[in-house]
Amino acid sequence: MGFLPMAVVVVITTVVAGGLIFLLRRLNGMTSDVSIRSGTASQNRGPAASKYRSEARATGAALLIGCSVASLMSLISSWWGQGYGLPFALAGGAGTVVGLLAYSLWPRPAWTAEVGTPVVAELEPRGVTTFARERVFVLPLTAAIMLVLGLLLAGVYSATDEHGLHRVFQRRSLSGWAVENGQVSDVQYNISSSGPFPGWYYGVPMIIGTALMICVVYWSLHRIAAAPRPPSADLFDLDRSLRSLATTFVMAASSSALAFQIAGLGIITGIVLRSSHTDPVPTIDSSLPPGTIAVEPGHSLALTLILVSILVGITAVVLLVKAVTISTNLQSLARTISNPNHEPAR
Amino acid sequence: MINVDPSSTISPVEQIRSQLAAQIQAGQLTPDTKLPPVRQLAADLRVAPGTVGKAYKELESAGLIRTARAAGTRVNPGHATTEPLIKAAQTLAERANRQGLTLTEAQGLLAHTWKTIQPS
Repeated sequence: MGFLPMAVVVVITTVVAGGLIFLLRRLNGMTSDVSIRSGTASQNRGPAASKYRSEARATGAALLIGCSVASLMSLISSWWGQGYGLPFALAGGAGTVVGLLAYSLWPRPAWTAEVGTPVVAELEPRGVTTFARERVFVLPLTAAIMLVLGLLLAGVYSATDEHGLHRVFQRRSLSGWAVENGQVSDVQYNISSSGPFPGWYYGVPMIIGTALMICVVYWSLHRIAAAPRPPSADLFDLDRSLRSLATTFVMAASSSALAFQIAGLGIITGIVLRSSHTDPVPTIDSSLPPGTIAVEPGHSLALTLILVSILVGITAVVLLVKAVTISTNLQSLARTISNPNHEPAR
Repeated sequence: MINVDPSSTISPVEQIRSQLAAQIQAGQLTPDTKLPPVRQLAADLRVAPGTVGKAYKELESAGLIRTARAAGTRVNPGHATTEPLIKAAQTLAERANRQGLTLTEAQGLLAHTWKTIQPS
């Protein structure tokens, strides 16, 4: 992709994302997710606001670093022609892994207890799935497993190109025919290749990337759950809301990257399979190009794959907007906690 | 919920052990309830993991809890005080409170009554 088309894509994505942020904030008012108890002691507001502020910075940095890495990989892909788009295919996964590592390693202030004061703890075990609904984890995990299975299947059906790389799909194509007495005869076909197809060349690094992404997401969620609770029960609600937002951010950002990968692969695979399931038909008039006929059900299935991938792509944009919204709302919540009279941004 | 008072003369191990034992015997922690992992509870209470580990080990020796590698630490059945006894204790606490007795005075009263009903 050249610089201009990429710039156009970035501008359009930013405008769409901005519009969706505005809509989401109008419709949802995510700031209402966190209830700031009137009983929250004023001496507790400072540390709580500080926690929210640092979380806002961590999420912002994660998004910035993750998007930068993904953009860098896309640029490398456009410069490095011999890579055949491999860095572009890995951009989403790499961005997520680096972004989440930055998020998890971002320095945050810990809840501290004053020396000599009693410390309270709950007796409920906390795990990686404690702070969000089950579907928030199940859906992306299912999508990741389906992506890996799809890549394995595509790998099995892939063929090697002229450089010996498993990145094309072989198809039958018309090589010639003869017309005798107004009748088509001696029709000859040969094997040709269509690509790029997600064969082993793209599949193996992407499967490794997806596995790595799952590990990093798990580690990030584990860190959120395992961090010590505040020493005072007065702050438990604020702490729980913060962990809930952080968990949702990690899942939204990683699911967005996963959905972008699935959508991109689905569209490319669908285009290749659609053209491969179109058979040329010889014509009697040799001056005309051969007609085509769709081979079903492959042709319709490929079209379905393209349409579903477009929907997955839209979901990816919505999830990215959700992650951005959480990041901006954390900053707004920090202000609200430190100054309860401050009206949360809408 | 449990709490640890670092300024108390009672050791943190004993504070954790006694509160967990009391909650199990009072039925607040029902049989098979999963307790938090040692590291989590230690981090939340700002004590060393060994402190919570020791308290858990003592509770395990007393048969109040069991630890399995996969299932974690769970409350054993058969240790909760019966419901009528909890109600009687609540009634005693409420009446003692109404009459202006302190916890120590109420405990003394219970200890005295306990001695009178013991067979000599």
